[in-house]
Amino acid sequence: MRAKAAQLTTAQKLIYRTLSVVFWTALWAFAAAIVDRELLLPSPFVTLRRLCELAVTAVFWKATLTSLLRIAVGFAVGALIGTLLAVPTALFRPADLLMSPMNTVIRATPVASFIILALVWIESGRVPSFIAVLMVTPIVWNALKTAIREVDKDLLEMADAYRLSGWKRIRFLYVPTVLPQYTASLMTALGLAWKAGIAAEVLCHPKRSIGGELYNAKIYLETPDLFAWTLTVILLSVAMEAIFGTIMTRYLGRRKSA
Amino acid sequence: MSIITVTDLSKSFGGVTVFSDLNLMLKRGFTCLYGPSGCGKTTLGRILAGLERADGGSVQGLVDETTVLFQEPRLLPSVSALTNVSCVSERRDAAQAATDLLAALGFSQEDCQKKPSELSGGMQQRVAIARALLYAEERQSTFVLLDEPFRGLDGETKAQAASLLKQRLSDRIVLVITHDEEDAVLLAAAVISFERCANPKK
Repeated sequence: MRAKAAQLTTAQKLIYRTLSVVFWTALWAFAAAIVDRELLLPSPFVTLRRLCELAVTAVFWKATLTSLLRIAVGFAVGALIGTLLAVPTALFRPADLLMSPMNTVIRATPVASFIILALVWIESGRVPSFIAVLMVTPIVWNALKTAIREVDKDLLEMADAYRLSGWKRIRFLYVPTVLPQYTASLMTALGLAWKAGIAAEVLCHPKRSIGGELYNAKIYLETPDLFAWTLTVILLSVAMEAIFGTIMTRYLGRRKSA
Repeated sequence: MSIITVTDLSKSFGGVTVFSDLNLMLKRGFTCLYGPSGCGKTTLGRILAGLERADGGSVQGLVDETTVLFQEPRLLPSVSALTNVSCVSERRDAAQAATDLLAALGFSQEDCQKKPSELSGGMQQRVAIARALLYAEERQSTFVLLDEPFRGLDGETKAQAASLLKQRLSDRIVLVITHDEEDAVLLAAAVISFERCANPKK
């Protein structure tokens, strides 16, 4: 089965993906037709129409771009912190023992607790970025730490015996080993940054935010708006993952053919 | 230094003695340490190369610069055969020197660009030999450890590799670890027979 999946051409993949979207949209339309109440479940057509209406307003673009910026900043900072923490904790046991409680606490604490605490500590507009940082950091940190520790010990001994420089070790030994796992962790973290960032916006509703608009839709029972904004989040998340995934795949591909 | 003297060397792992009170002398040229698998040859070689510590005894005459050809090729999987060889050198012409060594071991230009996963076991071993030779020459290693250097090589490539090793390393102290007596003949080496927990017999 896996071999067959790998043999699919780009055109075939596109056809299957389109069919998949059509199937689930049809199912949604069918369910909306059965429920027949826009307040409970608006149809795909109503949602799309509302999204088109929103898309020509300044509020939509201000909210979307501000949320995008907040989450992108949070993701970038979280990825950077996770990367910087992974290296010493993977290589030095005392550093790992010192830092691991922080890692455990961040992973175990409910996001809502962090959001409420952050609201007390910092300005509401910065909370989504802060929450995205907290979501991204431990994922990248743990994945990279594990990947660094999994570097082949025999190859490390060879590198010592042949006195390979630090740069050569990083370039030829560490980067090729950790890159696939690192990339996968960044993709996972990106999805979580979106979810947690928007959740933070809903709870602290800063000015110009998708989360704030979702909150307003809930207050006024504007279910089509709720669906339209949710669809916007999904589209943005998928687009960001696709762009990021393409960049990383091209980089990995170039390394493989180097 | 042209002589390495091992005196009363002992080593054990987890309470199991690998060897004890081991004495031997290695002179310039090729010496084959011959013995069955698991008798402690590699452990002795690793101690002499500075990769392991002995429990007791002493080794005199060793200098910092040693070259090790490991039992396995231990090639970097993400780079070409050529880069695997040239990466141990800081010379400007490292790539050319690596190409020449690989060519002397039967590699074509195309083979040089292949990654380890695209090479047979014998070809990987030859890349490892080329890497060890380039490093030994650049660092002027006085001691070279070759652990099962002809592993996976057929008759012709074995003779080719042996000839290159003799040509490039005859002025060093070279310890060849093997369980094949034919290797000693190929390298015209002195032979030390090694048995478990016993002093080797020359």
